[in-house]
Amino acid sequence: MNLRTTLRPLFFSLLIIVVMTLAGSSVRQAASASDPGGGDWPMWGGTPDRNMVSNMKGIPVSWDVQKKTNIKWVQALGSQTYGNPVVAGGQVYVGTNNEAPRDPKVKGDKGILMAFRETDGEFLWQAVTDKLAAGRVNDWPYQGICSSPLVEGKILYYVTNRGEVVALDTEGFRDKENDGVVKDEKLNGERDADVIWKFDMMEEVGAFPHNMSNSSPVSFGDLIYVSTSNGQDESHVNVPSPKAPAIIALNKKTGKLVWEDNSVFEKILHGQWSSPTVGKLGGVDQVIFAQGDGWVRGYEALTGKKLWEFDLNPKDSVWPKTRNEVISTPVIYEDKVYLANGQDPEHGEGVGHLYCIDPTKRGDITKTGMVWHYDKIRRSVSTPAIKDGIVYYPDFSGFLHALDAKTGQAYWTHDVFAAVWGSPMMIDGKLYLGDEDGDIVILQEGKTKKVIAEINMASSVYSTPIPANGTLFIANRNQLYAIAEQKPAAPTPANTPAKKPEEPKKP
Amino acid sequence: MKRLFHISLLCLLVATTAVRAQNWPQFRGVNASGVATGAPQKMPVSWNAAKSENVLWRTAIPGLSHASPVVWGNKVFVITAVSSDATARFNAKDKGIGLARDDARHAWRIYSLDKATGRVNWERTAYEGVPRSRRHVKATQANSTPATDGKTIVALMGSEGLYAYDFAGKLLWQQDLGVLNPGLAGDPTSEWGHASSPVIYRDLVIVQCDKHAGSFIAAYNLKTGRQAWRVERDELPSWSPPAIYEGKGRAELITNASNYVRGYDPLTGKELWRFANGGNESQVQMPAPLVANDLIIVTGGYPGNRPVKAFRPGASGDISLQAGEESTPALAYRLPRGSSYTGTPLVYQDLMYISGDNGVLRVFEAKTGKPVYEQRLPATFSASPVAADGKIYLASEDGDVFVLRAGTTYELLATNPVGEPLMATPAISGGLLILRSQSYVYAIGERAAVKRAE
Repeated sequence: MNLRTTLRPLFFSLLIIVVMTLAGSSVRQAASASDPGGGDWPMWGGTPDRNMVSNMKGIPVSWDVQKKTNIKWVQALGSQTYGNPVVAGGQVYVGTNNEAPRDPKVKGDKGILMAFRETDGEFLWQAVTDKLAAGRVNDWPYQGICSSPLVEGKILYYVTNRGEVVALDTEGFRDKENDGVVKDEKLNGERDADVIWKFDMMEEVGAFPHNMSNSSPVSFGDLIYVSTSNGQDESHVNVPSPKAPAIIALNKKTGKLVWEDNSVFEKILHGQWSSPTVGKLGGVDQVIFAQGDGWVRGYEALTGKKLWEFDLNPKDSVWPKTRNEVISTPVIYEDKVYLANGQDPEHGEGVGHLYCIDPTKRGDITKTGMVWHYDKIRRSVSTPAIKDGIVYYPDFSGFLHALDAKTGQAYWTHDVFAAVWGSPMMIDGKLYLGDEDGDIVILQEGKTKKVIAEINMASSVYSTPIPANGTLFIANRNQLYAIAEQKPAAPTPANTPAKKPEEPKKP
Repeated sequence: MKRLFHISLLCLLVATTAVRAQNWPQFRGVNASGVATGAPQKMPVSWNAAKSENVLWRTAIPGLSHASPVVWGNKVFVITAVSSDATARFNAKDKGIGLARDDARHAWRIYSLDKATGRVNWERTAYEGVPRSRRHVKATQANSTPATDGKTIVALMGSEGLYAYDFAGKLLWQQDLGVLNPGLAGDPTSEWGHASSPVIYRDLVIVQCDKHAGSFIAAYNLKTGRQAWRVERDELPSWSPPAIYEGKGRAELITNASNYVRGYDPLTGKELWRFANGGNESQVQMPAPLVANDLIIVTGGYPGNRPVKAFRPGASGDISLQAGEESTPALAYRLPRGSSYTGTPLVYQDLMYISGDNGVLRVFEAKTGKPVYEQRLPATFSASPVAADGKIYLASEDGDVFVLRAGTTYELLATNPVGEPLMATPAISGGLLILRSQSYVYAIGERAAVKRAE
């Protein structure tokens, strides 16, 4: 017999990428410009274009989690981890559940966002969110926090399992100050989160999240953008809150609503688990967001004015057999938008579609804005890495597709033999990709396939490998690994005949 | 004429003896090995259901069931649950957690078929009524493969009870096991349908019934139906059938479930050993424990915690890994990954074949766990692989039977479309591959080979 559960809500978070565009800056970028610069990885995708590309040097291509080779530190997470780590200001943040409790007072199923010190992995503080009473229809058990935070300076923005957009003080209460307008935190010890403001999307805009709120925020100027995850109810037929927006823009200082858009109404096929992307395209600062009807839409970033929309499914497709929703995050690369559709992993494998879209067109650009369409991909929940004219896009069935970004012609595919929930990360010309078997495969970039290594992480990897300051951070289901080239042990007097000159310091 | 009759009788006798050597008496055959035993028989490579090539017979069976056919002598037994709602279906490839709507009356039936012709010898209705528990959209109301000792055939009809018939179709006894409602752990409204198959050990029929509350294993006397023993277990819902290890020193009844893998004395139900399996993190255990090469191989579980564990029999007490431990003396080997979710692996000629639900076939050295090859097939699998005559048979949810040559390299001999989802594990007997598709039982074999087998 055969039943299959999956943790459905999980994938949502895995799908992010980074863009190279920092908020407000101009977007014309060299192929490698998606690197966030400065060594941190402060949001899903590293930069607002969500392209999973980094120029970082010195990230290892070999390590061993059993023998602890090249393992700088490892920290226990909850039992299921779908939040992709981010690294900023000397701290690492990752969403998980409460099955490995850090605070003995906090018991039972919770959404947990943990903060660790980047250098040695010391646990610093955590944000605890109670589960919604409605249960799995809105807030699936044990899925924890699926949002990947955005960190700007001393403020961290993320979305909780209760559908709240929350701004936190990155110092927590360790600074002995209760910052922000929220002063009534129930947990306010030194290892608790200090909330600055909170925006409840269920209360404020009537969102009815399906299974999980997972959006990873992105910002532009004073605004931050998130998906509401508004979706169907348990019947999988009704959209109980058809008037709730799909995307909202909040003022990041005050947490007040600035604009919202709803173009989907009752046409939501299931849920809304993609995350927004920002870039300057055709001279216009745009926020791009894929929605529950299987369309992707572009908005003027400051005003929310809808500029274009594109149907990511063939017109004769039928949900759920052939028509798909969208879980992946759109990626901007050289003024084009790249995005594949897919479905909740619980729905299994199936046909998929990948598009290159010209976002300078206006209106319904399904025909006019289609640069190319690739239909050899299966359903995908991943967000691609695009570098030097090659798109690296995995599908949920476990095939990684390398395509010409200009034409959509396939150069090669690679079968990892297991479901892919996370996203590929291109670091200094090497692509890192995790799978449900817990393997990280490392491939050389380029038009011909070359596998460099395959390394098992001892448990499923549902997240994306994240590079920061010379270290690779990988969360498997229940542990966070910091992986870095370890220097050989310092010479001991026994094997050191004479004093050696000090090693030159790395810049 | 009379002489002819004698010859036929003789043939029949010979056939019975020969065929007895190739019984398939329970889920995955003799010793639940998935391998045909006895004198080797030539097995079919390819067939064509549309043209009846190498298809000896096909018999329509109403209703829905994922139970395998079982074979003893010249009889094939199958069970089914027939809904009075003609639209009742299962969704072969579903991966969700949704429930089917089963509020119509059902009839739970057992059929005896003639192995040579597929003709129905008899059918019996064990129970009629609205199902006492619900089912997963991918499941049926009759998922447990029956078991026989050659005299009695025992069918577990889920929440509708355990029924024993003789080979003439006479009901010998029945036992109400209560509502068997395994489902998503922690959600009592989630009822996916019982699936664990009964096993026979000596004069006992043993059932493993792990559910939302009140999980138990129990043994009943095969002749009388009287309860021999019953042990309550602290277990989450599971779907795995128990397995018997018969060693020189002692026999062990092995159960696979989320909290523990356990060994029991099959005659008394006394727990011999246990191994922590991960509890809540290891939900939805489905594959049967597998006994091969004096090892007990346990697979299955949720993605992310789906190792392959090979235990040495004879353990006692709690043999769980302690924090930080990678191994323990009772573990011959442990692979961190590679297990299937639904199907039970196959050990054949010292290689272990694991057909993943996603179509990825992984092959290992059975004694050491050393990887041999991996190959993706264009399919998804719920059924377990079976083997005979140097061939591996893999029946897919897409309705194809892949025939591979057994060995250390991948060699696909044929892909045979059947046209309907294949959820049940096939049976093998006397040169025949016996398939249960959504609507039919098929007997597939080369006519000459099957004749020789008789």
